[in-house]
Amino acid sequence: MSEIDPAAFDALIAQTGLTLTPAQTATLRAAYPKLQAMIARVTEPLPREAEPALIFEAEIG
Amino acid sequence: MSDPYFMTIAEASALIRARKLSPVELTRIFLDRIAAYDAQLNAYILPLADAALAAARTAETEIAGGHYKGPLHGIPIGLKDIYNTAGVATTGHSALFRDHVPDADAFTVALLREAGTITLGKLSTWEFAIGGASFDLPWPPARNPWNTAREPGGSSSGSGVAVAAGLAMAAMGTDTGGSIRGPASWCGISGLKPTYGYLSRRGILPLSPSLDHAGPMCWTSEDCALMMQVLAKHDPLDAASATVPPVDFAAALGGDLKGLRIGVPRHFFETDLTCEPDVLAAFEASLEVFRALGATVTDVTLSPLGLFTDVNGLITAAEAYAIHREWLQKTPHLYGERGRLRIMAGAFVTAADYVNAQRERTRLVQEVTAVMTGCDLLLMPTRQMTAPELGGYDSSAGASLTRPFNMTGFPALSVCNGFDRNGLPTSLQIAGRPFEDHLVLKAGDAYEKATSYRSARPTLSAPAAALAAN
Repeated sequence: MSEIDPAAFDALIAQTGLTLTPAQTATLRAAYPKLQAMIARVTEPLPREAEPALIFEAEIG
Repeated sequence: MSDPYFMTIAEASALIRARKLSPVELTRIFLDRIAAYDAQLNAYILPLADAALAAARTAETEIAGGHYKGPLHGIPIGLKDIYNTAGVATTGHSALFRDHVPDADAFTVALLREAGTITLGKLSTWEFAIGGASFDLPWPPARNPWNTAREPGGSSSGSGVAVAAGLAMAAMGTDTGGSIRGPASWCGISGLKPTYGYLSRRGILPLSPSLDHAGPMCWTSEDCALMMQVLAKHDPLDAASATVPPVDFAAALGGDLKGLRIGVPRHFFETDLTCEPDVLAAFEASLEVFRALGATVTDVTLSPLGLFTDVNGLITAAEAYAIHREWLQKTPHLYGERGRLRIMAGAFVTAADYVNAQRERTRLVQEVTAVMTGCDLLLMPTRQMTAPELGGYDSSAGASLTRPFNMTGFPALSVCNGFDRNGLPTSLQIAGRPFEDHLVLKAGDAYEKATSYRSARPTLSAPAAALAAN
């Protein structure tokens, strides 16, 4: 994943309501492509009936 | 009698029951040792000497009166400082919660008190169980007793350190991505992340509620079983608490492992990430021990380790941010830098990303369940490396061998399986099917008793030397 444009990232930050220093913004912006890569990897096509397990309940083995 | 501070719960409880070991004297020994040695380890945020001695006197009176409660009666333990303790600060190792004094004990803490344990104090953690070893928090990070320049692992860092160094006979940790098994690995102890839902989460500061697990950290798997005997109780006020038939964890130990089928997801640690050679050698030697105990060993294939890690990471990011968002907006200065940035990253995970991660989680749970119809346990190293330099470890970087079992909720135990060329512990992870924690502990106990690694303890600097160095 390529880096995000600084202005676009500032817009994302503004939506969060977080107040960041320039150094914190730079750190998060540098980490952002890694996060987007993670998201891309877990968005494989799944059947429509695949539902989320919002509360995981294990069966007795 | 060995040094009392290096006894296991199994050893000490037999003496306490026979009234050959006084809980008051035992507690004094641990408190003296904490006073002498913790300056070099920083395992404790808050020792509770007066309360511990009062509890020990009560235990001693009860036992003398013929009211012995069981193997944890009179046993000195420590609590990771995200477990609520009534009337005692529970800080999460954060300035944000410095003055947080709960009204009630966590459910698990109440169970341990009822069983007669002695709480020695509250233990170091990574800030709110995330981030990493940090030097900008109100308390310093814990240090590895095998080499104090090294990481103890986290986030249950103080728990791992205290047990390995003989500053507590057992401790409670929590595990969202490996926070019990990581410190157990690098501190050379036994740490169990039980099946999700086996132990109540109520009264523990949450990080990622659908992945958070409470669990015991002890010198041996046998001691973890004794702790589970008390801790595995249904909590009607925890929505995820399971209702399962009671298991006698201690009775499940012993005997050989004939017929046990072990699966090894070899691609996890041979191709999906790079293991240190000493870690790999220790793992292969461990498999030979299990074969000698009667188990069969077969390689199995699962999805790539990185996928398990990504799913776990995204769910953690989203859930942790949901919990911390308001504090991060209003009082970000009360967080340390590492914890703050780790949690803030969750702001960029959308609702759709989170739901898709949960859907993928369901698919992976089904996959692991299917593979485990052909084997009883999965074995692999707990960590791909031994303890790195303190402060230099980023738990969010790269694939993780522990996260698959937070994501699936299956039980997983870390045990010490040797030492590397620098004298640092290596470790073995044993995972099982849901609510077969007793089988996981049986395998860990059998391995520990078939090997000699439980006889080595870290050597600490003399107290005066440590103080001078500081």
